[in-house]
Amino acid sequence: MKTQPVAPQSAATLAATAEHLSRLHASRDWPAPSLWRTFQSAVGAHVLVLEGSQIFDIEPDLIPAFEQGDPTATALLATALAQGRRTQVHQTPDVPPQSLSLNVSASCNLSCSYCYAGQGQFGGAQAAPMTWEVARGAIDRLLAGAEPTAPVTVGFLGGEPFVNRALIHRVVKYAAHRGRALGLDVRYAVTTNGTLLTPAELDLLRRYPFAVTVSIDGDRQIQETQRPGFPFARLVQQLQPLLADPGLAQVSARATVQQSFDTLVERYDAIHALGFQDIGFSPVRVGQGCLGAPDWPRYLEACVALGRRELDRLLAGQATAFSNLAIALRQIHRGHCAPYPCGAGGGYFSVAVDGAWYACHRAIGNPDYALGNNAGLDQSRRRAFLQARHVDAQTDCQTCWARYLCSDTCHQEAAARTPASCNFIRNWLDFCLDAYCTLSHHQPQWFSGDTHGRQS
Amino acid sequence: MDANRKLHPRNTTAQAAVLAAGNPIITGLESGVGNCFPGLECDIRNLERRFFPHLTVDFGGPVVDFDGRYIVIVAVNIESARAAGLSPAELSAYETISADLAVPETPPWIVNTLEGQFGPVGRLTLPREHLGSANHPADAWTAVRLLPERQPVTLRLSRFQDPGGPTVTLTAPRVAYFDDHGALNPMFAVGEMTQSLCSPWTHDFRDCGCYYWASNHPDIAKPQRPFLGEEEPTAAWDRPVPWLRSRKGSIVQPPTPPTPEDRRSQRAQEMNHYEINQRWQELGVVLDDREQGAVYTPSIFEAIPLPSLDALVAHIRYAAGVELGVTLEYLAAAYSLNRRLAGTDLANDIRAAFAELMRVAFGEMKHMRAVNDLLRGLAERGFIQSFTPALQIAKELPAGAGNTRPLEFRPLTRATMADFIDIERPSASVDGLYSRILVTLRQIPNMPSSLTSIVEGIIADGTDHFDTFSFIQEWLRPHPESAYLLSLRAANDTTPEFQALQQGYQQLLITLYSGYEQGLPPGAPDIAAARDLMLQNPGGIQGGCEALVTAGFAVAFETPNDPRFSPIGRP
Repeated sequence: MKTQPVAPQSAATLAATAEHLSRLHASRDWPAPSLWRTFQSAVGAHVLVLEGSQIFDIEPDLIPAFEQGDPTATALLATALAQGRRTQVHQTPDVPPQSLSLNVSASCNLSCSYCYAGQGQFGGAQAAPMTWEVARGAIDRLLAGAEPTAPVTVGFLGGEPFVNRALIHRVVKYAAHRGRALGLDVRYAVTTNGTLLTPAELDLLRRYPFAVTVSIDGDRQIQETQRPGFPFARLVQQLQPLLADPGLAQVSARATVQQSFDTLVERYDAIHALGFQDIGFSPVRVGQGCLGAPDWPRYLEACVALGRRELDRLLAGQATAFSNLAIALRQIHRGHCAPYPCGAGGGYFSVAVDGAWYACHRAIGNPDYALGNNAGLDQSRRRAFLQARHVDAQTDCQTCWARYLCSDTCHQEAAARTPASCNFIRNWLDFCLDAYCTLSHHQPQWFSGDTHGRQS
Repeated sequence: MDANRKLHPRNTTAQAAVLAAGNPIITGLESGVGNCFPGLECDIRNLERRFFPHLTVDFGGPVVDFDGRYIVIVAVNIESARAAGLSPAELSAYETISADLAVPETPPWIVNTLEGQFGPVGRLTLPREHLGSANHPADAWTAVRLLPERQPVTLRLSRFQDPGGPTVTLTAPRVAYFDDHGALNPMFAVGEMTQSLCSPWTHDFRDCGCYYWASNHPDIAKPQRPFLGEEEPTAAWDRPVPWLRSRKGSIVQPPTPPTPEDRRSQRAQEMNHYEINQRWQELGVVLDDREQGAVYTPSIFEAIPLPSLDALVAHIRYAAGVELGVTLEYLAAAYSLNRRLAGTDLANDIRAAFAELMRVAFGEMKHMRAVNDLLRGLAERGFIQSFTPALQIAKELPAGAGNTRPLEFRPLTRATMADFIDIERPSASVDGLYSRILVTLRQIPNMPSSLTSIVEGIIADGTDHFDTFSFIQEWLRPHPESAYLLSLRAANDTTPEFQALQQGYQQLLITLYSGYEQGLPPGAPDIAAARDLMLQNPGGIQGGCEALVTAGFAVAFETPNDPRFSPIGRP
């Protein structure tokens, strides 16, 4: 596998990235299947035990012994390996649905070219908005089966969910009322383009524990090009009251990155200037504008450049809003090790307007992902779905050191997985491992307390 | 590579995987059972004795001080004061007090006024007389306790009952008792935090029995083994006796345990409170449930090594068969319990017995996996030729003293329970089997500790299983067998529920075989699928057992007709 040439940016970032890539390259050949991996960071040498994602510091001169599988090195790792085996990463989970998203609207007032949902119509699978009866049936089913010791999340998606605002208001009030009666901690989530927020919606978002994800891609020019149909200035005006006074809501920005991207730093700064304290980037992996093999190294470089700058801020005791980095750092700290990239088909389902339960909101209308309806789940289909998508069952992932940190990326996009996109994930994780070791060395207190993806 | 090299855990999962040598974190002062009276592990009032730089104070007056208003200077560290770069006036104040302390007849120096930021109470100038009055700290120690560290505090001092005598005023930041890592400031002397623990550790120690949470002394222990030369001590030396007994007795005659009737005389035979203060050293350290002499020698691990590698492999394969056998026996016994009752003591005892029996059964399943890992490890490192999964059930199970008993699926009668206890008894039966495997492995040059530790782990678990079964026996003892057992018939091949369970069991073995054969990670999906199959309900092993019992039949398993799983005899 060859590394793609890196597009020239500033000399400093280029040198740093080149050094980073060469280090990666040098450590690429791994005996398959690998159980651990050595790496170096700014503060020393380390070994990552894949099961349990355990990180140990080692003396740098031990790296060859670990790489060659020296028996003494193996013996040193024995306890860690035994501990790793005790993770539940090899099991197929059997958990009740705990999160549900309702695809409440079948339309959108914007027309973004890369929309996976076809403006909410999912290529004709959703012709009309969701009715109250369907929504209530889904909520009743969710609350009846949920585990009371963990939070329950009700999400709203579309299209643009607030096109069907009356239904959202009614569902939130109903779920809050039913949740209280059943002793459940019900929370809410909505992904919105932010253009339809009226004072009534602001009040709703502030009064209930909402995770509000605003789709905003960058400054005026980028936003109006990628998400045509609404003036940037008016969008900013719409969002200001919520950003200034979020109440119970946690507001984050989700920026979609198309093939035509240049850097992320300017986009981040533009979104940050609006007042967002949590900013994540998602590259388009399928469909129009998706990143191809030559784009992934550029994207890595852009992520690492922003990551380095934000890491410097963290090292200086400041906060960052770059959630891709912050979440990765916290996951590495906690030893994140998962057989799936998300809860699809496990704890999470998405309900279409006709009441069908799909494993994922991106798969509305795809019969492979239809696992039940408001009357119940087809458990054998669900089990087969989960077994087939377990990371241990993915042959490509067997020899990859990042398998339990990445967990085979998004199921929907797994088909679009390429050597280049996998390389991006490994290289990005490699940067994050380095950053983690450096930050935990110099600013260990950053990892205590707040367990969210951001530090205020 | 040098085996003494170390790994340093960095993230949380790595930290959880490593047991560091040294004192556990709960031995830190901040985790102590301290309180502000003569405490149990430390007396935190000793911290405040050093609240002001270069001074050591006592709380409590030169007179009887029921209100606790006096702070008396008992020592000045004049060297540290001289080295601290103080102004001449400040240093002279310390010198004055220090000089007075050197003269025995001089009245002691006391604090008349405290001035500073008293935490939530706010900024105060606090004359001694105001202590305990409305809105003021209750006493001098409480007032000092409220001062935040490193914040300035001013003391106005004079000699006790010396109106025309000298006075001094000192201002300095309140001393930090701990550094940023939580370590006690080195100015505290060894023993200083516990110096004011009066008798709780000795007086209370005598009176607190095993149900008092703070007590960590044994109530009973086996007496110290006598030295009898070649002769083995009699069983009388293995009888537990009260540990607090006043006279530890003759070194040739074993002490006699008291009977339940002579509790009063037992009490009389124990050390009294004052004896404990004087003679606590004689109580003796207890290790391995026995009072120890001067030097503790761990018991030597004795077992006869196996004669060859072939014999080793045969024993390991048999051990896997034993694990499989006992797993199934325990499942059959667990499902014979009547779990349909509710709300009574009997129902609770049954529930606990079932849960614990299942936990032990899960433990045996893990052992079967571990034994297969051991075989695979031996093959991968070239100690043996090749690895094939060991999933052949044992024809007979070890029953102690070299005996065996046939594998049987039986309800959890008292006799069955006794057999279960026997098989898990430390240093016997199954444990004995592993002991031989372990000594043999240890004799093989270059055997990595990762492989021997597999066997050590299994042996350690055996002790837990033995204890658990003893508890279950205890819980069920008050109830008649007919009350806690279901009345079940033996199923046969025409019973549909029995057929379903056997199919599930066969499928389980096949799936496990495939998973073990491939190893990790390629075999992980099979191992995961096998686990799913065990827990599936309905269907699967758990569901199959439930269905069989619901239909009125006893749980039993038939070995599939497949050479990979054909029963294995004791080597």
